[in-house]
Amino acid sequence: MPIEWDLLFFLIIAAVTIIAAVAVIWSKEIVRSVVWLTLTFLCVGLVYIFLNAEYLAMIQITIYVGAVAVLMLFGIMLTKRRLLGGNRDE
Amino acid sequence: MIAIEYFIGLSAILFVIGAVGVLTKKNAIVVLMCIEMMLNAANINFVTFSAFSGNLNGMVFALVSIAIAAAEVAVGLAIVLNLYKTRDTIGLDEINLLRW
Repeated sequence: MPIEWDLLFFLIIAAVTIIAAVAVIWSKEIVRSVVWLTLTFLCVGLVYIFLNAEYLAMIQITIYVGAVAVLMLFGIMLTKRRLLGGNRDE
Repeated sequence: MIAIEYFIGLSAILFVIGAVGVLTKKNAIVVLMCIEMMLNAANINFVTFSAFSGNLNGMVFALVSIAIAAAEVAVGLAIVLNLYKTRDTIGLDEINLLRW
């Protein structure tokens, strides 16, 4: 029985997507949550390549990974958040 | 080509994770991130049905949806920053001004 390589790669990418999406709502630190969200967006862009939508994958990586993640980081850095370890308020 | 059920299943799981995050998290920015995940799940659905039906309308609509999502997160973060400036918090439990 030959191994279906595309299915194998898709399952790996889907597993990484789901693990990263769970880690977004699992992690206590919000900055790490943004990094996991970036990984989720990247893997969704790779899923678009499996669907023969290469242009959409490029646009996804440009807009989400390039713009939305940086915007989220700006929003986090400009607001005070309650950190669990230590009381670094500023 | 990979069967359609895998893509639909991935989209459903991603949507459920985003919905759980929206319903349970207390920080406004994390809620915005989970909304983005739900939008991504919807986009996967659009592109999947578009690719399997041979009609390009779904992909074009996914492109429009990505642009709208980018604008939406910009507006949401502007609201969050203004909220932080006036109320000094972004915890959704402490923002109850519109609750009668």
